Parts: sequence; structure tokens; C-alpha cells
Amino acid sequence: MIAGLCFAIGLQQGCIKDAPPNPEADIESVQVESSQLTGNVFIDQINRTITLNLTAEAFQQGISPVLKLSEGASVKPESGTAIRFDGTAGATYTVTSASGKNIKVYTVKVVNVGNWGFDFENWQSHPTDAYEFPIESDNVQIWSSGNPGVALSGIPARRDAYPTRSTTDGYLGSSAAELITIKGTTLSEFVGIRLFAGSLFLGDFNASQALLNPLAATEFGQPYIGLPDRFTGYYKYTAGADYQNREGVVQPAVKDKCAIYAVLFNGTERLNATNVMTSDKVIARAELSDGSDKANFTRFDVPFVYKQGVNISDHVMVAIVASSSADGNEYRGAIGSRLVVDSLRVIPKL
Amino acid sequence: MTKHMYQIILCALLLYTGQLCAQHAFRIGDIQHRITVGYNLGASAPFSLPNTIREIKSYSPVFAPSIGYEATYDISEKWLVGAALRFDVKGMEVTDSVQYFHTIITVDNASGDQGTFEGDFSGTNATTVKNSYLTLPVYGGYRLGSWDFKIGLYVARLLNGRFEGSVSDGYIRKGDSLGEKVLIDRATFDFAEQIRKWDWGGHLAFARNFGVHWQATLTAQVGAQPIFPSSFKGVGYDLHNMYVTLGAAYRLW
Repeated sequence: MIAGLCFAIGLQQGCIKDAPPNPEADIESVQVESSQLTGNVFIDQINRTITLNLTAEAFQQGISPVLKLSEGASVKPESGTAIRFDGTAGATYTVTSASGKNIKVYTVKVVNVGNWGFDFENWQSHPTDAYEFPIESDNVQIWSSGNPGVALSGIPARRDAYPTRSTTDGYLGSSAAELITIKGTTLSEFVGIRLFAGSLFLGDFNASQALLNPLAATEFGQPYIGLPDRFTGYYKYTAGADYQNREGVVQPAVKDKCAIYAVLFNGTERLNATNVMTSDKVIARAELSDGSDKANFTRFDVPFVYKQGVNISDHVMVAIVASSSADGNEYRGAIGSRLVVDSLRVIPKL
Repeated sequence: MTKHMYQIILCALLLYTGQLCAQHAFRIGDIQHRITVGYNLGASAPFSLPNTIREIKSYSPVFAPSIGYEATYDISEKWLVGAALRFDVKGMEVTDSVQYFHTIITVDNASGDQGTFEGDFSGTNATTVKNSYLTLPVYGGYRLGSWDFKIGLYVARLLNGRFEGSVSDGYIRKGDSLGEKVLIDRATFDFAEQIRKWDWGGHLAFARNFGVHWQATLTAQVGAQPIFPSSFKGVGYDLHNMYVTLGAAYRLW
């Protein structure tokens, strides 16, 4: 009633209550000496993990990260405190919001892709959204997908409602990665997204960009020591029946195809789906040329083709990207297209 | 609480008019007939602004006319009873700045699956409400000089609903304030289909008589129930129709 009068009479500011105390408890940024890093620090806000790619020296000596927090929040241990990786305990930061009501615990994980062979045997599920993601044997997540973005579109919280998930239909071992192009939701259609391609990539998903600039949300690449020679693996693929364009109109003459490629580029900043094809940081590329249907598991072995005249810096990164619809980044493809990948390897130059 | 209050007022009114009617022989020819026109000004808003609303950046009434027919009957020199049938548009356009505004949107997917999106939005919200109703108010009244005071209840049937808008320049935290921050440039919403088909509430009116035929009127109607059912969580608080009608009435006979 009072509020009604506020609107009607225009005494609006008088009706505004005091601001609620800030309930946010984020670590917004983590600053580490750039000389200690082989890849930029990534804060996985979804899983509350700070992933660090450190030089061997920094890993041995420890680091003193400087943290930026949500306004009014406090953290333990404090920003600037030295943390060591001597294996005694996993480093964690506990952030308390200004309101005092919210507490977030961030885990610090050092990522080191030692063995560039990926069999997709171990998967974890997001606790509330239920989508799956592969993890390495040391519980570190280095692969990501578009699933965290799809989770914002009001999809049912079931592993098989998402476009990227595990399957027992693998080439080796008990499981592999299954990528299926699915129909968009009512909510995603509001922003012009009529399909979600299954995607899997070596890198991070930056949730903050998921709606603003979805292609920039997929951050590709992990630090690589040395230089790669070949990219190998196994896959099978079945294209969905009706290829549709961005407007959802079926294109009878077009057949969907899959995309599997690896890119070597100058770090320490990751590339994303907006610039992985065009960036002048790219040093070499290894791409599956035949994205057509393969009913049975098929081996591929493609060389990294190096570009002429590109400087190779001290910190290079490799990204691996797979998609069940090659044009899925433009929301074009066929619903139902299915790609299974397994046993991916990056073979170094000797 | 408010519900009980309405019940007490209504009972008292019926009891009192019943007694008066017993003393007074009803003649159908004594019913006064008026046509009314007016302009609805107000808001579909929470009774008290929650602290998640930080600033009202702009407010404007939409074209919100009220056209109706009113019948009143004098049961004594001082007391009257009446009823009306009105076509009302109740609406507003408001742009506000919100912080940690909780929303849950249920999404029906083609396969019959249901999913939900839930989160806390901070940023700019722009909402346009334009609902048309067929309103039936009933009331008792008291006359003091050239003034009539009327108090009663109304019930309204939604004819056409519109509740849409956009959120922009902000971010949503997925789930709740602990969730990850997702930046938003602009997204639209349309909750028209969720609006309740019925509205009811309190009716309070002041009328100033000018001669035999004309009245200037000021009517307030406040919805007792929120315009969205409690099962709908898209707007994180209860919105009530709270409108004042500035109008005139002309006595036909």
C-alpha cells in the first residue's frame, strides 16, 4: 500500500530501504608473479577452485598470491600469505562475505599435464546441475565443456540431458567422452540459441562470460613443455538427420560433420572460441580433415602443421577441441549428431 | 490480518444496511444510475519495497482508463449502498535498480521435461505491466454535505494480461548469492501467462457532488492477493495491484 503511494505520488527515494549487507564471498582475482606462471591463473567459480600452472621453481619454493575479494569480504589465510606445495595439506582459502552469512572455500590446485594421453576413464558430476566432466587420476580437472553454459538454460538436472557426458561405449577401458548435439530450451531461444553442440576441450569454462559472450567463455589450452609433433586418437561419429541454420531452418543439402583439432600457441593467456582460428599467437595446428560419419571406432593420426615465421615463446600451450557439430560455435548443426572420442594423445617432437 | 479486517468490515456493513432496510421500504425507482470514467494511476508492486530494490530510476503510468457503470441506493439521508461494473486497465512502466533479486524460472522443454533456472540478479530491471480487468466493486457509503465516502470490496476478472520486460547491465548469480557470477548484457522476460485470472481486494472512494448530475471521484483499490500465484517464483516478492482512479461520474437518472 505504502509502495503503491510511493509510485503514484513520486516520493520514490523516500521508500527505498537500506541496502542489504553484501552477501558475496568471491575471490575475484588471484595475482601471482608472472615469472612464476606457465599459464594464466584461472579461478573456477563454479567448482571454487583456483588452478595454477607454475614453473618448476615456483612449485618448489611456494608462492604468495595477492587476492582481490568481493567488497567487504575477508579471507583466511590472508592475501599475500606464502603457500607451499610440500604435499602436507591441500591449500584452501576460506572467504567470508561482508554480511557474515556466506562462506566459500576455494581449493588451490596446481595443474601439470605431465602425460599428454587422455582416456576419459574418470568422471565427476556437478553437485546440483548433474552434468559430468572428466577428471584426471589426481582429481584435477583439465578438461571442460559447454555444459556449465547449458546449465544456465533451464535444462533438467540429469547427466544425459546435457550434450557432453561419459559413455561406456568406449574404444579402450570402461568409458569415453560422448558429445551429442541437443535442442535448445525455451530460455536459450530467447537469446537466439536453438541448439547446443556437444563440446569437449582442454581448458576452462569462464562462467562470467557464459551469457554475455558464450564463445569467450570456453577458454582453451594447457601449458605444454617442448613442442608437439602429432595428435592421435579414436573416434566414431553419426551425423543427425536434419542440419539446421542459426534460425532453426532445416538445410536439406547440408550434412553435419564433427570437428576434432589441436592447436599449439604462445601462452600464457588462453585462446577461446572467438579467436582460436584467427589468433596470431597460433604456432601450429593439427586437424582431423574428415568429419564425416564413422560407424565404428576409427583411428586418426594428424601432424601438427607449423606456420612459417612465427616466434615460439618460452611458455607455449596446447588446446584440444572436439565438437559434435563443426559449426556448433555458430549454433548450426543437426540435433542428434553424436561423436564419441577416446584415447587422445599428443605426441612430442623427439 | 488484512483478510480478517475486510471480513469484519463487510459483516458490519451488511448487518447495518440490513437493519436500515428493514425500516425503509425499498423502491427500485430510487436507484441512482451513473456512468463513470477515470484514469488508473498506481503500481503492481509489493506492499512495502524490499531492500533488494535499490532505486526507482523511472516510473510512468501506461494508458490506463477506467470506464464503468455505477448504481447506488440511498437507504437514509446519510447512508447508501452501491455496486458498479467497471472496465479497468491497471498498469505501469517502471525501471529500477535491483540487488540480489531472486528469481526462479521453470522451463518446459519439448520432450515434456521440466528444467529450472534459479538465481539472484543484480542490475537494471525494466518492467511493463498492463492488465485489463472487468471489476465489480460493492460498497456501503456515508454522505456528509456534498461529499460521499464509500468503502467496500472489489472482485475483478482478468481480461487480458501483460507483464514483460528486461534485465540488463548486471549479473546473475546462479542458484543464490553463493553461486557463480554470470554477466548479463540484456535478457527479456514475459510472465503474462502466469498472471492470476482473478483479483480481489479493498475499495475506498471519495466523491464530491457538483449539482445533480456531476461528481468528481477519487477511488483507491488495493489487491488483497498477489497478482501471481504462490507457485510462480519468477518475481521474488508478492506484487499487489494498488491503483488510484481519478475520475468523474455523471448521473443518468
